Amino acid sequence: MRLIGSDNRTNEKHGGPVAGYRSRHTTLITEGDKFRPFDRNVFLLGLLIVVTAALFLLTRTIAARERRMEVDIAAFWYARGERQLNAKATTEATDAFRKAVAGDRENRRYAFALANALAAGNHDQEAMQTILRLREFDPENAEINLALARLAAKHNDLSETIRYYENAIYGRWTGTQVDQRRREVRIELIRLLIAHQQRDRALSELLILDGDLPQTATAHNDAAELFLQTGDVRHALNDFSEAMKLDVHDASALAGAGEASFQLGDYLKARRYLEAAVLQSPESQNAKQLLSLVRTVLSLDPEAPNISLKERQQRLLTIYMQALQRQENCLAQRSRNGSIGNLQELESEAVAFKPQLRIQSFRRNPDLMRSGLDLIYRMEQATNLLCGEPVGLDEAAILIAQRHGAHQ
Amino acid sequence: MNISISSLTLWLRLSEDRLFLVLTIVVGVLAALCAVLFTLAIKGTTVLLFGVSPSIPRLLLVPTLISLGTGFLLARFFPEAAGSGVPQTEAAFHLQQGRIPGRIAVGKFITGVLCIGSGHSMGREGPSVQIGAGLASSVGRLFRLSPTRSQSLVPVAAAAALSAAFNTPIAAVLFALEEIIGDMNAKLIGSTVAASVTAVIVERSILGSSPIFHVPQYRFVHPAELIAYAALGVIGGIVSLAFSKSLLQLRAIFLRLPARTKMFQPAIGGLIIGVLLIFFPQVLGVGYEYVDQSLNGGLLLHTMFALCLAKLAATVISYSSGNAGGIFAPSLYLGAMAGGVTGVLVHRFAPFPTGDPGAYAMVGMGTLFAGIIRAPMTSVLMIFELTDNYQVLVPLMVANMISFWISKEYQPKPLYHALLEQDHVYLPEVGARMVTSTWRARDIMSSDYISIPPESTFQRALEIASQYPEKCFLVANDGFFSGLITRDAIERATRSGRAEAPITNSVIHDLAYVHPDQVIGIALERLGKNPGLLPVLARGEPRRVEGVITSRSVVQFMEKNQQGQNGESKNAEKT
Repeated sequence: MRLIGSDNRTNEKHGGPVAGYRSRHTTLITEGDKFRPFDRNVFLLGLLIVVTAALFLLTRTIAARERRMEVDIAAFWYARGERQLNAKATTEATDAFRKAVAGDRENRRYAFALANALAAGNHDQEAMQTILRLREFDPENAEINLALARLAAKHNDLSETIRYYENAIYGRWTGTQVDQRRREVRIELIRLLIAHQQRDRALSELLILDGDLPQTATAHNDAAELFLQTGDVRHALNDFSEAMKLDVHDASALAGAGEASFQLGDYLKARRYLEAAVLQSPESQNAKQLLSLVRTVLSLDPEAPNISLKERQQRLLTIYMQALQRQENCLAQRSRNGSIGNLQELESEAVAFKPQLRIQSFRRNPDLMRSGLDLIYRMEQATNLLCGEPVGLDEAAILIAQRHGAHQ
Repeated sequence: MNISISSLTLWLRLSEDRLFLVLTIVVGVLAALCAVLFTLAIKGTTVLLFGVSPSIPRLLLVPTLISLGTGFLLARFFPEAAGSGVPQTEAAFHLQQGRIPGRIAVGKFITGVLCIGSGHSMGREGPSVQIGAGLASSVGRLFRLSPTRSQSLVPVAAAAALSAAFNTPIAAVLFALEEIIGDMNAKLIGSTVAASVTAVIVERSILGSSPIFHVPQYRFVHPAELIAYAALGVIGGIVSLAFSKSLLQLRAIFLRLPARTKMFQPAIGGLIIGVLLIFFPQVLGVGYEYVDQSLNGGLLLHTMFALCLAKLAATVISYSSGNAGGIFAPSLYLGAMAGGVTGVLVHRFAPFPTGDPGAYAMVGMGTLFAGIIRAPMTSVLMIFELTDNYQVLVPLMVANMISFWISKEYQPKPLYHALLEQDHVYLPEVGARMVTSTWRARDIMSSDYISIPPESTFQRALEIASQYPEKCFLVANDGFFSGLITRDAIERATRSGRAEAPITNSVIHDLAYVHPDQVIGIALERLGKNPGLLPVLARGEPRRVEGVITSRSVVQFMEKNQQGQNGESKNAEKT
């Protein structure tokens, strides 16, 4: 007797050796029954399940083999993509990385390479989406955040850019020289902040950077350059000085210190640093130009110490004549094709002032020097507005006037 | 011990219920395994035939030479395996009570792998459906299930196969109900869901749970975007029409070619595909990686436009020339490209804020699916399942409905049905399919009918007619219908001295007929239009007589039915 299901109570109630009883939950078939439709079906069902299980295992094996083949093909395409990216063939590299990713979606290295190739080919939208998907799996990965920051920066999304940069700086780095790479990312962020006029934020990042600088002239020079760009000239000078201590022959540090001193109005120090810089690096045109300007300022400053009154009068007269000449040229140029602003009035004022530029007048009126410098400053500024930035003597004249508080 | 007939009947019926339930799961697993194996075999064959980075001669020669082989197989051994597989499964379900020979499933697997693996621009989902359905039909026969149960296994397996092939269990269920059965309220919904879920579990346990497409979470940016999505619906409708019409027309041309060329037609298609692959290798095979790129905004405007045209041409050529493969995947490909093009244009020129072009590519997929396959609900759910993105649901529905309407307006016959009709197979209308709880013409027809050969004389016809009491006779030859002739017409002609004249002029040709699956109401209505006899003609084989309906056969059926009901009520009383 074969029992399918189990309900012995029911079986006892109805069953004898030849009984076939069927309840809702029980099927009982005796061996002596002639009519046994389920014997065959149960056997077939068992056989079918065995065949299905075998087919399942076979399919799994084939799938695993095919998976390995796909991974190998993906590696082939990744290597090809790397070669093409190195050869600056961005489109071909992108196609190759795409195939690598399609073959091995689990490999994040491939996806990251694809994102970078896409970004290099200016397919920013897709690059962003690819990296964002990667970030879902590894939100603290510094490299992923850095790539996102660079993409967000390309789209001028400042708040997102800053967020991703900070995530990158404080994120998890892999490999060697982690501190160095962190510093580089922070410098990248500072440059971006400066470019977006976020000077205060840039300065705070710079101060953090400054506290963590390695003792190398290059690092201090870089930081000092950034301080200069944010307008914190004193910190810049400090870092240039640090760099000079580490390498007394560092032309960049000397030139930077010269520029910082120049911006602080300390022209004597600036001349000293710049002369040293030109000596170290004679091909540095910037240093040479700045040195020339500094020398002009120092040689024409009518308020310089230890010079005679006559010398002062001569110097003021020189810069006055220079300012007047430039103003007249500008007036002539603008009167032909445009407005002239208040140049006419200033010219009248300058012409009226000219008779006072005599040595006796300076003796009688000690404030005349200040008045003269103030007038020169206003003349140069008015000319700047209409005829462009000053160069050479005119620039020096403005600096001299500013140095002595003109128009303040 | 005595077993009453009624309890044995009950026992057997319930047992078949249980067996069917178990078989639903087993068939679900088997269909899924076949679908996965089919996918793996296609991938493996593609790598084997084309290598990692195919050269131009290889691109040209592989489809041509392999198609020569598949052409031979399709013409000689598996003629039913050409094409998609979905319409054939539908036809088998509706016209042959789900009977699909196992040979067809085997042939579909082999030829499908060779055709798609050798670069033909066709999909793997349709063949998977037919393979799964064929397998289910074989299982049904193996277990000697009743015809109704065997038939029921077909959509169950179709859902399982599609679920495994496309990783969309809900859409697969809906597809089986909407497309295969044609009845969204079918009783099979439970079995279909069970098989579909089983299949997707099997598929994911082998291939992993990674989706086919990796789609970002797109957003519906501005209400005015619905206008753009509506425009996408119009474009989708037009592209669907272009695809359907060109496919049908080119296929009609191939079908008109002499029968001896049938073996070489796939190779002609293969050669053209080879040339196309040289310029557009992106249209090779299924091409889902490029759909993925389009969804992620990774293709340029002109590339997507060119690929849309190239894929359309490639699929039309591959299918029309008699290769084995589906149009499911190509419709998604075309949709992604058409949607991507629309998305880029909208993004550039729309005066309101818009979503990414990828979002349009995603909606475009559903739009083309609704326009070509004509399964709008399946398309909505499928895209929803594929993308897991609720935000696109409203735009998707808007675009789908417009595309569906345009396609239906200008191509009333759905593509799958039109393809079947090109092969002289006529499916019942959707309305007729929906009626499931009533008797059909096949139930009341009599297969035992008297026929008079069309070449008979009136004398011969009278000899036959005199043996039977009927007032009207079928004129048929070897079971193929020619018309009807009445006893009156025969007797009148004999009396008027035309006994030796052929009956041809008295045969009535213009008369009503029904198909076996049509409901009894239609049969009775049409019987009233004929002179006492209504022929029942096969759908799959035009003019082949399956039986006749007469007043007598109707009365006999009613009596038999009444007796059956009386017997059942007596048994119930005894119980």
